[in-house]
Amino acid sequence: MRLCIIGSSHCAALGDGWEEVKGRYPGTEIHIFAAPRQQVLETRLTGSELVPETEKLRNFFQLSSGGRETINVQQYDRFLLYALQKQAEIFQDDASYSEAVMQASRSARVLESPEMVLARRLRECTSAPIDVALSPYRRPVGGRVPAEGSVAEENAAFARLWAEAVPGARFVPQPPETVLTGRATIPDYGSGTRRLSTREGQKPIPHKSHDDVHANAEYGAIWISRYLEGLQHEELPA
Amino acid sequence: MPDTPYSDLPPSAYWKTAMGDNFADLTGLYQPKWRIGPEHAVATYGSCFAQHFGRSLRARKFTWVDGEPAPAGLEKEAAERFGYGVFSARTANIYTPTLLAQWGRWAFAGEEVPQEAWAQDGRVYDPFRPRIEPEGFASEEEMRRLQGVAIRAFRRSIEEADVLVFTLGLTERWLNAAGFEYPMCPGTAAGTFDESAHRFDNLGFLEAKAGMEEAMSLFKAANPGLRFLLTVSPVPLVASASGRHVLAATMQSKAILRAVAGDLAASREDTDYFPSFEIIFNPIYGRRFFQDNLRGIAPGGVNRVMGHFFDTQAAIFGAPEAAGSDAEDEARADVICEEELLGSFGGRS
Repeated sequence: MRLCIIGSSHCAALGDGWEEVKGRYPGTEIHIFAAPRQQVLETRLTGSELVPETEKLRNFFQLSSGGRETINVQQYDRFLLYALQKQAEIFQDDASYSEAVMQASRSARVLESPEMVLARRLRECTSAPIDVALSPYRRPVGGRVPAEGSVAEENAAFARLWAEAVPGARFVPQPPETVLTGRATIPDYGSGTRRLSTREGQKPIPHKSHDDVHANAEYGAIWISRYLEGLQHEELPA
Repeated sequence: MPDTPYSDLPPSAYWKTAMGDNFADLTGLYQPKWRIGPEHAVATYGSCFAQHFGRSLRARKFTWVDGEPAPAGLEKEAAERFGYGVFSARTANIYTPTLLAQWGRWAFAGEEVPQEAWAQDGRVYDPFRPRIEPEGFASEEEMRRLQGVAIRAFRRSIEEADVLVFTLGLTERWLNAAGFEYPMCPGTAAGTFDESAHRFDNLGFLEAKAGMEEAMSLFKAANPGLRFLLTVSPVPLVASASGRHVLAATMQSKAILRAVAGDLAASREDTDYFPSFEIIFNPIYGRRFFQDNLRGIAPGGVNRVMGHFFDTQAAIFGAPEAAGSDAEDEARADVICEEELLGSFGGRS
């Protein structure tokens, strides 16, 4: 299987994780096209290629994908749109909102999302499956206890909304073994994180100490393993 | 000419020089007692016009207290439809000083919210925030739970604020048999009007002032450093239940509220008055700052009011470092105003 991952700076952890585990998946080839925040939206579809509209993005594509400047959509069996929007705050108490408000918020996070823009762009030239995953949950800092949230309900809503909105699209939740409680990532996955490279040959730069959202290679390895195993068993992580 | 107290007054003290032949612009109308800068946490509540204050503060990167933030993903427009980001908590419009005091008693004095809920077409509406959920709540349990959330958020916002901006909007109000005040007449935004249970009342000066003082006293007990910036909404009444012509009723209401705000600002060090009412409602500008219905305030009017506030603050205390670039958009934004619903009853036979 040839998998194309399009995403944000969080792809650095996924890429590092993939390097650790790829020996276990001999039939899988992964190309990552990543740029900070939502810069990957600055692409246009030309024929069956997603072409960067800026030199900056072209550079990011080259660095993250091993030299490819554009995404040749037809080459891939599957797409993963990764971490293009933040998760809800770990202290968000879902009980503080009405059912109608939660529905509106979940719906907006799918239908008005950056992932939806890219998914629609891809659907113009491919019917390959598209998977969608959000950034890792934040890690708790300062001793405040994260809210429990209604994560299972939220994941089910995202799965339903994606399946309804784009044929062949699936929502991939964060692996449960990386979750502390509610919407909080286990703090250990924050040690030794590194930033997405912005220049060729650049040494890995660690994230700033107050960064509570980027995860490390260990997290990336768990994430990608769970994802690929889910695909092998024709199911996604629960 | 003999010397009199009028001899040495500045041009702004004379109608002829300030407003008459040589009129160039309204300046010096606001004489702030204290500086309000980006580092001050400002909570905003009140009538429809109060929303502009909160929006302008945010647009200029001031610290607006958001005591009840919207959940992730709910962007500005959708959030505002549900009453998020409109006031510092999801209270909806608080039109009268006595309604502010009622929220104060719920938040700070342990007074119970009446066990009243309005069911309609399988949904439930909050009598004290009838349009906060446009389609109503799913159940009475949900309505009560979120009423509690809003009251706690209101309390938090007052406790965290350095300044409370309150825009006084109305004196006309509706009460239930037990004396609780509704923000809207039952049966207009939701619920059913019951002549035997619902009573009209029009606040006089003393009652309005007592309402403000009660609210201020409750807030100060929780947050002794809190200061108050009072304004009076220049938006005329949509409708009056007083039996008087709506213009006469509007002028009575605004005069009372203006007098209350002025009286409190004159007698309390912690209270100031900002003349948004005067900037819009004056003979020089006539209808210029009103929309075509001569009621809604046009974006130019909102900009003039808020510009006067920030410009005066900057002229007297120095310009703050933070500067917003989206102030025009903020002025154009629709205000969420339940009172508008009364307009839909106008002209009915």
